[in-house]
Amino acid sequence: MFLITASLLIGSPEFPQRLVGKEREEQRVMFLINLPLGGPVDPADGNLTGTGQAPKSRSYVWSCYCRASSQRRMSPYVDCYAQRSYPMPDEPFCTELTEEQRALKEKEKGSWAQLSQAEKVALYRLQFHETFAEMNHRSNEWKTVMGCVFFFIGFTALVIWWQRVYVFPEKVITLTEERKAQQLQRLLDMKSNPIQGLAAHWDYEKKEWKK
Amino acid sequence: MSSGTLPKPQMRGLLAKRLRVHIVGAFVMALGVAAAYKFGVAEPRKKAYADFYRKYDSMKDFEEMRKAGIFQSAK
Repeated sequence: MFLITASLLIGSPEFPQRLVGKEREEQRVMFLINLPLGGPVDPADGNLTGTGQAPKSRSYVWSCYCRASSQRRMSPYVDCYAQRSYPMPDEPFCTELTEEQRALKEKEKGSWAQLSQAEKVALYRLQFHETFAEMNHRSNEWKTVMGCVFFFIGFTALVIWWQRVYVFPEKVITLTEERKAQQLQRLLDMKSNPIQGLAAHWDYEKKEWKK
Repeated sequence: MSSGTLPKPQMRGLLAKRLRVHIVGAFVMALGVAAAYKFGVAEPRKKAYADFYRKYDSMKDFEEMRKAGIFQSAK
């Protein structure tokens, strides 16, 4: 933990030693945060309302530490990630700030007109994990889901086929063709549903189904 | 302020706008389905029953059934 904080303050994303357990988890978080996804953008393409693609360049790396693992609270409070249904999480995304970041936060307390575009973007990135565009972007998960659904349906079909061969008992005698014909004849004799149903489609003079 | 590249989105009245569209649609759907059922199912059925019973002779029907042998109490 100390090692990570130390490397944070130096500003380097290197992790010289393999950690274990909780610290390893934090190390992973740090690594992910420091990917290009996590940084603010150049003033040149500082447009946060873009297409949801990750910013292509970064002028400086923010090392943000997500405190999710240390809290025992329920989502969405604990994920540090806003969702469409909960767009303003209680806590900012970056809670441990470097000197630069703290200075920026101080500057934020003044008039916002004095902030440059890059600074505004940086403040946004401090506060939020992703932009709305990034948060809402589609994924291809549905393909995986549908694939698995069809796969298991197919597997079930094979299981039922096996059961048909090896498990099911003999068919009842009343299901033979002869017996079924006798049952149908009896229904027609009774004139069951003679108005819109079965007997309505039978021609009693010609003794055949109506065309 | 930022050099706004996007027009300001609709901020108010979103629910009202949605409701206006959907209430009309709901009415149309409901009335349409009801009308379709009435004229597709209910009226033909009433006509079929009326036609059937216009020329229905219950005794003749009974005799046919009796000859077919389905009754236990009237052979």
